[in-house]
Amino acid sequence: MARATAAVRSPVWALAVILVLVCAVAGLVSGRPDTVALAAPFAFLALAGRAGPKSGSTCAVRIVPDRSADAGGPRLRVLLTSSEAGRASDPGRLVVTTLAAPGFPPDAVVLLTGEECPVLVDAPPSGERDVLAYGAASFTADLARPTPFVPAPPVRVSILPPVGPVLARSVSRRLVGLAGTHRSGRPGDGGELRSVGPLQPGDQLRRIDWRATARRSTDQDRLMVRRTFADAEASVLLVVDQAHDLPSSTAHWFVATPPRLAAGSLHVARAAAATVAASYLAVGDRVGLEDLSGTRRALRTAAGARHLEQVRVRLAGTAVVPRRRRRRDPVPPQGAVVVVFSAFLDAEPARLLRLWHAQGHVVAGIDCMPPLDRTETTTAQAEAVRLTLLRRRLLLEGLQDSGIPVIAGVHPGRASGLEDQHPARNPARTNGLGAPGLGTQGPETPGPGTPSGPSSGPGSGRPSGPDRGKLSGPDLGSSFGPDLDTGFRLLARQAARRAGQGSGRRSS
Amino acid sequence: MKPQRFARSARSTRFAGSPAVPDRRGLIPLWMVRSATALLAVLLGSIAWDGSVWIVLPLVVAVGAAVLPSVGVVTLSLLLLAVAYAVNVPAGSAWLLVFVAGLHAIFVLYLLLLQLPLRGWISTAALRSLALAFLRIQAVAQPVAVLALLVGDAGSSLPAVLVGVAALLTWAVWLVRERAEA
Repeated sequence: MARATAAVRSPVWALAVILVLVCAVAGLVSGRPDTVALAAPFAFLALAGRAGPKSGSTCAVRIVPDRSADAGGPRLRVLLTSSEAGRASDPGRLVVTTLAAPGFPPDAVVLLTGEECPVLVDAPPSGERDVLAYGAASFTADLARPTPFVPAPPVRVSILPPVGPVLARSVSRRLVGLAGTHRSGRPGDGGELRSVGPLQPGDQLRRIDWRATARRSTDQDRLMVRRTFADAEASVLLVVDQAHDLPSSTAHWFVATPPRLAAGSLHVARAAAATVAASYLAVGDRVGLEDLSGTRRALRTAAGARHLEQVRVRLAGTAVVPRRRRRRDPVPPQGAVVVVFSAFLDAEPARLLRLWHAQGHVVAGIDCMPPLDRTETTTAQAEAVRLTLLRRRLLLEGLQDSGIPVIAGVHPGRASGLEDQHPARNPARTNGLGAPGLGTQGPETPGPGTPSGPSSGPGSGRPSGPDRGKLSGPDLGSSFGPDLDTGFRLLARQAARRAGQGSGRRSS
Repeated sequence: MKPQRFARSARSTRFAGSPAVPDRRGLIPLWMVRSATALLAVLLGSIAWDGSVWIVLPLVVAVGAAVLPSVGVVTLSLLLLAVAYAVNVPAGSAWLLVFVAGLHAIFVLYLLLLQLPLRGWISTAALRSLALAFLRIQAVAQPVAVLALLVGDAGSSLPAVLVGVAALLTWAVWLVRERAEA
């Protein structure tokens, strides 16, 4: 709410007095009463303004969310009221409200006190942002007794990140939970058969398999019980890198003007993280949230629909925060799947991915680079963009070479607020994760350390060997790896294959 | 200020960005008010400067004051109109009634636009309120103008000028003191 309490000087009164003096003196000197009569309205205006500015008056303007109607588009509808609710302090005054959306020149709305005016403003695709700065001044209908312009606190909104379609879920082999939908490697209550054997101390009587007993215990001297693998829930740690929010327009990388509410890499990270969280929480798994900047306390792993809302609210609150030096690296829960959402502009996310991968966690990197719009204007800018993208590409290729899958966070055409405009993301690119040993385990698969599958073929955009130094501009700007849906499906298939191999070894 | 939470998912559109706009009827864009102000000033100027090449000057100033108002340009435009009336329009002309209303209307519109940014909207209720205040003053000013027309050309008289100027200065000083006390 804007409140003006101090008095303000206005040129109206002074100008009226000047006009009165000029007209009257000219009329008197020339002996023309009609010229003197010209000054009459201004004399009355001067009389009306003789009381001076209204000191101590208030000019109340509020902007509140308009609950009565939906804007019906990607815009928010807020309600501008030019007086306090239920109290018209000074009826008949004109209230000038100046509105400024981020990145745009100010506009004014002149209303009568007590009037309401819905205003449509752009909303960010997700996250917490100031969407409207405003302030107000007021004056009477004869332009007298003005109050000063007083800025109000900006309208700040928090848009929850969208949740995309359910993804395939990959889980670790070392599940530690006691309830859930995933099969763990330890014996216990569950749905998947582990073995059938004679009843032993500790076996539950309800586990007796009478058919197996009749079939295998011919003398009826032994009771056979069915033993199962215990069910367990998976733990997932989502790590969001909020050190950068890369706009999709490269020209905006170099400007210091207030950013417009465009979708950037942080929005891609929020949307992808919300989708991953919803996919795991839907089946009772536990999801935690951590940020690489280390400025907020981590959201501990928990399960349930309410926790999904907590994750989304926490994601909506993520903003660009410079990364600070941490005493120690984040420690994922035992047997957790760790997913890092980053634009991979520096080596820190890649280092942590390698660390957690070496610790035995199932890890994946989500490339949150939005589809780039190459709008840089100077050669130096173009070179800077190219070098940044080249470094990023080398980091991501290094991750893939280490066996860490990298998945594009932009889901083509779905709920992320970004359209997939990149011809570089061709079907061949989305056929496999590109990481050695992920989904391309056939006999023709090259060994670890070499690019594999379709992502290294000609035209795939991922050069190998001597072609590495010849990365072209448009290809550098594309997202890396398959899309979210395909990537997680392949990741789950690979994890299931590994788990199957593990249980095979155990049963043998 | 606690952020308002909107549990609405993002729409599948690109956010090129657009300014905040009101979403209701009964709002008039400020460019229409500016155009009306410039037109009114040009019409009054064309009456006062009829047949003179110098008409270009008040017209340009009037348009400038309406489109990009500042105190200086507004003052210049109003003085050009008032002085042009005193110089060019003969005494006893019926145009006085038009000028009294027109000059007052231009004054109100100029000073309204002076406080507003280039783009914006004004509600019809606010305009109606301005018009009512305008008519209230005109209800007194027009009879004064008619009286002046009836008096006609009184001719120049030094005692009358001195008394008038003294009265005017007294009135101005009283106004200033009243305002200062307020």
